Amino acid sequence: MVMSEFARRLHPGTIALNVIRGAPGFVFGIPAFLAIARDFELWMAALIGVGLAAVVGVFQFLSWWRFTYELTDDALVVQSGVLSRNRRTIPFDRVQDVDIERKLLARLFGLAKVNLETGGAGENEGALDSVSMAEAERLRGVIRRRAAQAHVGERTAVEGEAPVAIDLDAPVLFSMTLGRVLYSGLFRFSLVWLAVIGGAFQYLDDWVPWGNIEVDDLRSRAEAASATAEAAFVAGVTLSVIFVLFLLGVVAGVLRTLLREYGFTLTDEGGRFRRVRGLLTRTEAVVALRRVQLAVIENGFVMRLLGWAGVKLQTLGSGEKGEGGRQDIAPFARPEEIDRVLAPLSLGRADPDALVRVSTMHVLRMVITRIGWLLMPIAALVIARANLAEAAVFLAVLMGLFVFLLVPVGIVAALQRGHHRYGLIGRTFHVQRGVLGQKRWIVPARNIQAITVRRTWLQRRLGTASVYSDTAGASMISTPSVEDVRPGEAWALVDAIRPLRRVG
Amino acid sequence: MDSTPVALNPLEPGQRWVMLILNAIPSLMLAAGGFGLGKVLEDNLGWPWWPSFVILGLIALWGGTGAPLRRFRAWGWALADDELHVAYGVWTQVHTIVPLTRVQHIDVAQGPLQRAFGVATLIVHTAGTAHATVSLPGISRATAEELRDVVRTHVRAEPW
Repeated sequence: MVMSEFARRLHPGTIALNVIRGAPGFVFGIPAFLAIARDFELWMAALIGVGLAAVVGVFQFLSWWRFTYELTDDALVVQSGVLSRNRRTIPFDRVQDVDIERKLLARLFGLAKVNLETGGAGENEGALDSVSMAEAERLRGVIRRRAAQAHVGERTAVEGEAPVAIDLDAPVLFSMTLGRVLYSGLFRFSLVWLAVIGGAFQYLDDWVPWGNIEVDDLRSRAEAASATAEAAFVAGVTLSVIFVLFLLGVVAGVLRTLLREYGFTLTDEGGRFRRVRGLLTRTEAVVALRRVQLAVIENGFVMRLLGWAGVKLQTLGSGEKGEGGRQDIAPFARPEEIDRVLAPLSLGRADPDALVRVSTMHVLRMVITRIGWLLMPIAALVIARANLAEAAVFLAVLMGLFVFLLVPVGIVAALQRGHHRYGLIGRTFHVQRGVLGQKRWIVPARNIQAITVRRTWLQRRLGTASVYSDTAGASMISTPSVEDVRPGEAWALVDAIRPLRRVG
Repeated sequence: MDSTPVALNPLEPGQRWVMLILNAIPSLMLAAGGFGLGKVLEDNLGWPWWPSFVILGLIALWGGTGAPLRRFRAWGWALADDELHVAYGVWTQVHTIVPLTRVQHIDVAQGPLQRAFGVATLIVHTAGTAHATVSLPGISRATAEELRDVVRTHVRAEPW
């Protein structure tokens, strides 16, 4: 494509800026360089140094020379790459905001970095690094104006998103009393807290001598007694340590929940939720309903038995710092409260019986892959023992282990298959997963981005396929995926979802 | 893949050469490694040098010819209505459908090898996370730019 006459380059100062930015990497290379350079004369070493700097400079110059950007009527077009050319088109109607970033080094050069926020997952998808301050301001003005023109249809909605003064008359959708906050804290026990506490103890250990003295003192007394008594003592100490750590974990969970969720109030301000919570730090978050991508209902086993669950909303990632992505809107609620919270979003819980279980082959695939992973190291051992007789013994042990593992792994897999359900009800896609800790995704089909059907080698042997639906702001680890359904069903699901995405 | 909803187009023939050349280098290295290993075994253990060369050489031959050609044949794409379909994979077969109205931005990339064989890679970015970047290598530069223009007409003002 012919480059338009309006294509511009970044500020030439960028070259110097990038050379300096790359310098710390070279500093680490200095000792290695000196080690080699000892064999050379000083002038030769200097020459090599200058040569290296020249190479870096030339490369930086080339990449500066080959990087151009151009404002067309409806998009920013960025071309880059020294050897391989990359041409990126960012339509203005995708641009959410333009910000100018000035770090210390850039400031010394009088330069600025322009970031286009587009709501995509990548961070530097639309970055011009760096241009002069005047050019940055010009770009921001032009792009913001054109983006606003492109957004004309949704203009009112965008303006409605700006956080405004708290509407005191807004109806409260959900709130938690102090009692409920403390109660919910009992379920927030987590091993992460144990690790933190353990780490703290280890740290304290260096400073506070009592821990060791007490135990040593007790042990010396125990050593006076018989060996069996010592064994009992060790077991007793271990048990009480576990018990104390468990208690600390519970207390820490309650404290953490109290600090975080105290005074939790969610109000419906028409088109957006406002959430206020926190004991020492009151935080306030506004969730624009049109930015909500999906809802997840989560609970652990005990929580579910007692009829409690938490609800999170997934919003576009470009929200508040650290808050973007997932938003708690009801951390500990009864089903009817969840329905009330989801109603303004026109989302509803699905009746588990209305959802379909995945194929029974899911059980088989999980058993094969899991036992495969467990037996792999043992199988490696068998191969390592080249002796035929020994290999036969190992093989027998392997078969025994396989049968031994088959029952528990099979039961777990069967339970998981029983709880893994999916269904398209109206315009909403539902996925449920998990036996103990359970997640139920409620996804308006129109929010699904790319949809993927995937069949591994094993899945093709078993006659199954998996369907992965991608949503904006999704986390990498937990997405509403449907594992192992018959290929016909997978494509029927995809074909049912596809037209729903088109309707605005 | 069973009951694929649309008929898929194969990649440009030029991409076959790109894939063959890209695979040739590691394959040659593997074959050379097999020869080297054979020599080491011969010198140290007195084993004949050729078995490891033959075994690794055959693997290299497959890795340098058969495997990339199979991978080439597994690729397919289609632009149906307002969706881009991209399918690939020999062992794990993947078929991704991107609605054009969901596209955030589009890249057309062309490496030196691709340029020599007149092919390009179209990279489509959506606002998602796991499959947010869908790339389609081995279509002609003209097709890539044509696709880009079609996608651009579908990119709407209301992305979410």
